[in-house]
Amino acid sequence: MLRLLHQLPAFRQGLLTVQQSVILFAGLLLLLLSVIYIVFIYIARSQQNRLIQRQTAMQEAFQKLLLESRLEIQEQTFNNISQEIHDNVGQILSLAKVQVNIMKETQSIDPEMLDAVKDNIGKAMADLRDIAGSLNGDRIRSLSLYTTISKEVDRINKTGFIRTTLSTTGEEREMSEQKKLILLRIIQECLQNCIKHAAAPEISLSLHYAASAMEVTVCDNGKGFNVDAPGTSLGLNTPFSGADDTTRTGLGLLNIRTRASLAGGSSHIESAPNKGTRVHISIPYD
Amino acid sequence: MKYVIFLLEVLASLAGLLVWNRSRPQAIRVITIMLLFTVLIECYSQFLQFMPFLKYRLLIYNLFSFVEMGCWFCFYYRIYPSKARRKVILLLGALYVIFSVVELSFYRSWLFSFHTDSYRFYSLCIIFLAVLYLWDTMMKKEYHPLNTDAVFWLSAGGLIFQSVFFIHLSIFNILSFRRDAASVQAFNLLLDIANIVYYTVICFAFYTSYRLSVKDS
Repeated sequence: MLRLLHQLPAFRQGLLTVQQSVILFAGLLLLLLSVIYIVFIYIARSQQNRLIQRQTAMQEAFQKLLLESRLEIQEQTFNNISQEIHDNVGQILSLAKVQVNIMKETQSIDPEMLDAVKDNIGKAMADLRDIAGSLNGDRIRSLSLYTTISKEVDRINKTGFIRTTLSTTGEEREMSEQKKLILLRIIQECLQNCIKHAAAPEISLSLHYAASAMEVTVCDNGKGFNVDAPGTSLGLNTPFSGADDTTRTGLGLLNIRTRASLAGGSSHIESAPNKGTRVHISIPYD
Repeated sequence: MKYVIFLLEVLASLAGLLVWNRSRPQAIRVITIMLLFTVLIECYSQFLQFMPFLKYRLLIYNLFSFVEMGCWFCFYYRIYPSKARRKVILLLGALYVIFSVVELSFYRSWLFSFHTDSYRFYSLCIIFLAVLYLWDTMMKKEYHPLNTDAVFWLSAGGLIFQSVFFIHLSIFNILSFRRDAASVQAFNLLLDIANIVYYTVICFAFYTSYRLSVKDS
């Protein structure tokens, strides 16, 4: 533009007065200002659009993760129920059946045995009530995170193979139901890793209610693995098994990382072969 | 240069006619109507100068300015859903009409001069409304793609053109500037550039309107 103006004879010969030059430059300036304003708005809007798109994508990923977590928790609950029915209710009812058969065969009613049968049936009914309760979604939602985790810990301890301890520090605070679900699923994933892959005899789980975030630490004294092994930080490895367990992280660990970050938090994994594993998760309350 | 600008005017109005049925928002149809009027006026004043009623050129320009104002104000009136803003637009429109009629009837002439002062007021109004719309666009919280927002581009075009036209009308009153051929030549160059940008952006606005209608369907 300036080059064009300079091509004008009046400019070259200095024929334009100060007033005329000012007017011309005012026009030019106004034109430039308008263009700059439009370009500024265009760039700002484009950046905002990109940000909104990124936020929407994250929101969708979060919703997807939430749905996945719900389904996985549901699946886990079904597995627990199946195990519970098989190991407890089934055993108790079988015992009661045997006791009734004994009484039938001996053609006598032993009051002590009858009481034992009554107790066994009562125990089976109580277990069934517990199972029915665990299927109720509202009940799961109404329980605090600590209660839900302690139930999970009790279930593991019942097996007798692994000793799990749960400790809590700080003043208990409420968390959004969605984040609670995700955190619960992360903890379940950690515990499953400890049981299935780490072969840990002891697991310690600690919950810390910090000022702005819930901090969970899961430690085990199992096999451990090499965190710095190639590909580990990318979380691209397949689930570990057998001898490779010590050098690879699995999809489980990738899930932990992804879920923690989508819930707005972070995760940190420390481990070394034969030195156990320590997983630290931090999820903000809001 | 005037042929290039005229060609762009024709192209813009043709683009408006082509997307007439698919105009999104429909308010941009009034801009097409305004462009058709512009083409007719320019055709008459620039190319049919041999016609006997050439002496009425300024009268036609003066009357056309009301049509132009009506189209732009109607366009912005339909764009803004807020009642308060609509009231402001109506008020500005009414003020412009009163200002123009008074200026033309008492201070200038309908036949022999152009109402530059009131037209400058109109330019300022369009600049204000365009800046307001652009600002609103930037502040929107939700996703708002600009490549399907015809109003954004029309406002951008309006802002660029009216900014330069405002200065152009201001120098109309400075006799020393008007008498100097070099000054006029230099400023006309600036005005031509603004015109080219304006009509090109309008063509693009119609294209974005078409894109939006395709996206919607």
